[in-house]
Amino acid sequence: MSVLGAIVLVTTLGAAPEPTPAPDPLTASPNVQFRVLEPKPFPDALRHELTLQPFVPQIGSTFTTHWLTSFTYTFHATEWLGLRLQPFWVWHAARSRFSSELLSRVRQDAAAASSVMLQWGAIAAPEWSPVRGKFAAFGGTVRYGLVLFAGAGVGGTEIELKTSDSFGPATYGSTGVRMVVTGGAGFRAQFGDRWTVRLEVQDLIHWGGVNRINGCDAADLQILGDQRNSGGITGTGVSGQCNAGAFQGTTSGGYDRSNDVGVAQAKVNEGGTDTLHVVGVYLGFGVQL
Amino acid sequence: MSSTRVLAVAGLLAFLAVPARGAHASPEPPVQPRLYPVGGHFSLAATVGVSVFDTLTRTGTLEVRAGWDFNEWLGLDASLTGALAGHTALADRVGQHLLQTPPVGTVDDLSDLWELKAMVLAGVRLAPVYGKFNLGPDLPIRYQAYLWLGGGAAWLDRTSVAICRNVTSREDGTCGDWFTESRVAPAVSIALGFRIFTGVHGAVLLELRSIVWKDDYLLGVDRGAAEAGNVGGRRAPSPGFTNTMLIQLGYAFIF
Repeated sequence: MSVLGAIVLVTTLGAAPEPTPAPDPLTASPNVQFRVLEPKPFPDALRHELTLQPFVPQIGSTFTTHWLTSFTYTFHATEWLGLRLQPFWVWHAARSRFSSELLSRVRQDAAAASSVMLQWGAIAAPEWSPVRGKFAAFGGTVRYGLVLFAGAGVGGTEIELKTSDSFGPATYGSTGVRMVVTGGAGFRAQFGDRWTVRLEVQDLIHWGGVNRINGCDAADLQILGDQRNSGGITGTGVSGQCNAGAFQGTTSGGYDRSNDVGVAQAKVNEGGTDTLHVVGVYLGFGVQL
Repeated sequence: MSSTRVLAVAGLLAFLAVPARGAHASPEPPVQPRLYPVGGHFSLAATVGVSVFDTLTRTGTLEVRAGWDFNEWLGLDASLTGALAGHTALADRVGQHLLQTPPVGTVDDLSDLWELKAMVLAGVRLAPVYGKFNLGPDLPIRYQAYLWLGGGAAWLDRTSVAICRNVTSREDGTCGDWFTESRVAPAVSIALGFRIFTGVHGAVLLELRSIVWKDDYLLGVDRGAAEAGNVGGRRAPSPGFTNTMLIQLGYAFIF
């Protein structure tokens, strides 16, 4: 065959429109180990995925415990790489059972820097899907991918001031907005062209000390404490960042919020820093557009 | 251009064209029989494990396990585990800080302080998932995912962090004789794991295992009396349960 003939033949074969696949005589053979690659039936590239993780529990908590709801938007730039934007809202953050036990049984409390809790946050992270596979389960085939991601964002934080007791529920003070870094891994299963289920473990990491509570630093809290001892908190003379109103009035249970000033002052004066991990199990249900 | 080079270019063109053609035609792939069937096989495995999410205790384990697979999705395992366990630095700090305070009044001991020393377990292994993934372009890995449910007995030791029978230094918060106990308790266990096949006769095991036993500790112990060697108090009426989470890694030989 001439060179030109070979080019024409190979190009013709390559460009032939959808030939009927020949029957595979080895289909039933148990000795067949390698096969041609199967094209992905549901490609991801340039598609958008919306995932809701409604109930995310924290696992392995030491001094605090969190429950949150997360929403994840993922843009799949290629079949393997994506970018995820993930706002989350912590609807239950409280002292852990262990921390309560420490306080009630041996009268020890965790350091203030170790007791800071997340309230809300938003992170951005590139997502990598290095492994894809499929498995047979209950008579069907499920396609899945292993996903790995790491990124950063910001989160609002708070700290418990008064524990829940006979005088009413616990009270909290804001400890400001912190940087949050995250890393996680999990599985993403695809059901048809559109539906996905994700099971991921994600660590939300934040760090720092407690330098301000409700925007008030040690000097502000000293002024508020003096005002309280002189008859009532007026909020005059504190810095512009200090939200003196957070220490005024009473809670719905009748607790005088000015009692929190002394606790806040003690926590700010305590010093120290800590790195805190909120490791959660994220079960999410998604749709791909 | 030599004929060899032309042929190479032609081959490259054909190679590039084939995936595009294949992407349009998507015939259902044939179902491949299992490359590593396990039904009717006996297995012998060894694993090492470490506890995760430690608060007051940490644990390391060494386990040997024998199993029988009735079919491709149901098996039975029996295991023997030895463990090295101890207090975390946090537990030691709690005890130290408590001892530095004057021994006035009573103290309740903390929960979740029992340490695993040994354990025998038996359970069923449900493996409804068999699949494969590719490591790189040419290395397909077959695996089974399974849920393990079972129970047995655990040999446990406990060293208090609140009840000291001999304070060696009040200032430093050191104790020469912490109150200790031992017991054998029923334990239940649940695990989620993978058998990652390396061949017909072997698989890597990777497991996340939870072991649960009933807790037991003292309440209302007079600190002064305890430091004189007389530990009193009463057993907690509702002590709850202790959950120890382990990550285990090992290898199974399948005969």
